[in-house]
Amino acid sequence: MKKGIVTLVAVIFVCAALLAGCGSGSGSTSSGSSPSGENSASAGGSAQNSEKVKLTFLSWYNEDSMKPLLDAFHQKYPNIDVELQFVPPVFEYEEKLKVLSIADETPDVFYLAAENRIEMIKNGYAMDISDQPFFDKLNPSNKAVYTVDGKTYAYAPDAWAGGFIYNKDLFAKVGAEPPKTWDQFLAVLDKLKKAGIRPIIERNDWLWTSLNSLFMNDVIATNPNYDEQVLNGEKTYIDGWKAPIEKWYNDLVKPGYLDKDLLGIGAQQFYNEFATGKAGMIAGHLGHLKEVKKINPNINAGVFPMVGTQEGTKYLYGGVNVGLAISSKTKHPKEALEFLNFISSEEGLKLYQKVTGFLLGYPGIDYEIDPAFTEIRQMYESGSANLYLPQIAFGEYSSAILNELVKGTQDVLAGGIQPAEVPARMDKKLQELKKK
Amino acid sequence: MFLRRKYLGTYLIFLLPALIVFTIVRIIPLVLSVRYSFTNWDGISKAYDFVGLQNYKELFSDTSIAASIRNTFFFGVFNPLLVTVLAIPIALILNQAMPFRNFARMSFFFPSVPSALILGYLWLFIFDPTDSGVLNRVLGSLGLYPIAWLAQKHLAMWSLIAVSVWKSAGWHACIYLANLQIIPKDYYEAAMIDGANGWQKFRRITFPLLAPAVSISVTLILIDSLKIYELPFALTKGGPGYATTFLTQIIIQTGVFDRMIGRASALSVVFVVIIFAAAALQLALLRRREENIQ
Repeated sequence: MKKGIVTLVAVIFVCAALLAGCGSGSGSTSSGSSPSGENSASAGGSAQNSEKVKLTFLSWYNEDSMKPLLDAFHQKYPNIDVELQFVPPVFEYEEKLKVLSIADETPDVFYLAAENRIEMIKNGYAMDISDQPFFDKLNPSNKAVYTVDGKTYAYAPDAWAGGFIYNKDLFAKVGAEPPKTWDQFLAVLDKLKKAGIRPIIERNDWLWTSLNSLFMNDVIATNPNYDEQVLNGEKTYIDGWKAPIEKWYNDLVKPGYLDKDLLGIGAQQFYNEFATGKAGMIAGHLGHLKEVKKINPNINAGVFPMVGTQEGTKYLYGGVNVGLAISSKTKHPKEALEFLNFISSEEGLKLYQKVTGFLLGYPGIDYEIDPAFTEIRQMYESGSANLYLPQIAFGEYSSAILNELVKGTQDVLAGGIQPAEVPARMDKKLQELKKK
Repeated sequence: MFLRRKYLGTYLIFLLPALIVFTIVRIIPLVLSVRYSFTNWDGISKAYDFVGLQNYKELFSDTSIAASIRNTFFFGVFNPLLVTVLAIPIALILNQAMPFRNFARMSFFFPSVPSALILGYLWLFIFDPTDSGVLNRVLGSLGLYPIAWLAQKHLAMWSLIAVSVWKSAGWHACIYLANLQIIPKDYYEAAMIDGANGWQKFRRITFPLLAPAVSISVTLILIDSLKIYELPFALTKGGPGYATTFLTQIIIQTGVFDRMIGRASALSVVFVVIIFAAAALQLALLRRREENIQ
């Protein structure tokens, strides 16, 4: 009897363990509360066919934040059910998308990001949507990022732009003003350091953000086609990066404004040190400021655009956001396009902006962002400054080249290599990958 | 071991589910990896070419791969060494009759329970290089300067080894503890009569008779050390530079970030060979020692 009970319990446990393993991955949800059953008559105002359609959407924003947008879409198109599956960015999302695509199970709607866009497009997984109306009024740089050989494959309504987020109180304490040139920037760092405040803090895999400030405003501003030329073989990474990285090393690393400590800093300490007033500034965008304010809602923060040696910022640290793409093999292209077009409507854009929190690429839409970013917003919207992000500029080999930049700057800070070695490694990696 | 034909069918029925799962999850991917190691597949295209031994040839010219092989061997030597050197004395202490012995045993065993990832993040806070880091606060209160534990190449590696040893020593001490229980007390009584002191008892009786535990423990910790992944991932992400990058991470980096599944597969095949060779060699040596002692 006892043996029988023990055996039964054991069997139940084994079955439970097996079934637990069969659960689906990162949570799916269907939007809307349409009545079940096929061919339900649509009650909405638009003329739709009454056939029920299900769109699979691999989203890198979670269900809760997407719900208002999906509900509003379903209200307008009651016959379309958007089944959202959330996978967190960046690496997990790109891996999941890659695996689904290779298995010919590409979701109907998915995101293309800086790292995977070229290869997904080149392998034919994304549908050509160049002729869609939502591109008409969109900021051209939003379209350009997802255009290959003249055809556009993804729709990114928004972009993020940032700069150096600084603590206004600390600046006032040491008598510093937001700088407009690199030399003024160094003077501010000096004032902060002399007052015993860590001038700038950065995470150990983002050490290159201050280097990027110098690079994009000095090199890209004078030659916007530089990265294309490197990918074509006309130029090398040494041509463009050597001088800025050596200057960055002499101006920031040697005097100790960026020190070895940063090699041990992860995301949490990054936010903490700045939020608690121990560091004068961080490089970041709206998302970073939001995290800081979660820790210290009363922080008096401002933002100034990244600077180069000349006055006048031509490039903002930023990039076009991830783009919505449609599977080239989708069974519902019309409905998928309706989804994208809905997002491009004023109602859709406002809801979408609430999800991402970034800057919309359309003029004249009324939405709010943290007032600290007002100047940056105006620069982006007016087109007086373009956006630049190395990960996007590195194109097809983005993650590999960025990795060399990350590891290289770590090695420079740790004192293992000369600064010029970093672009040399980037060149070597590029040659290796091109040969493949 | 009886292998009666009458029971063969029963044996198979019990083995089959596990065998099927093992084949699907371990054998098939291994065979596929060997296959991909001879191609130039990037992990995302539908088509790829066979390139023979090219991936294997290119492996050793890559500086990051060379660095990770060096690091893996370094860690694979010092981690088992330090764990063993600490686990045996810990086991001896935990074998003594003392108050709160069970609590002590639990405390030493506990670090091996949480996942390495969680411990890595925990120690990231302890090693925090700013003044607010736990270790640096302690140093500060003693009047010493804060140290950037994870920022210097060699220090980062040793900090990693320290955390790994802290995690594993207690678990391995349990293996030795179990072995200690079966050493006959008569040997110690005889030694006491002969006037042997503590160290002599350890050297002549305890240590030789711990040979079975040494074989098991060292083999397990060696294989674990060669395969280490989560701890460096959480603690240093392989940095600074490539100072704490190990073979496991570089395989993923090559395959996923560099989009070179072919080369990464070649590296994983080499990796399997290394682990197999190290484990086989070491097990043979230790088993021989065990037999000699018997």
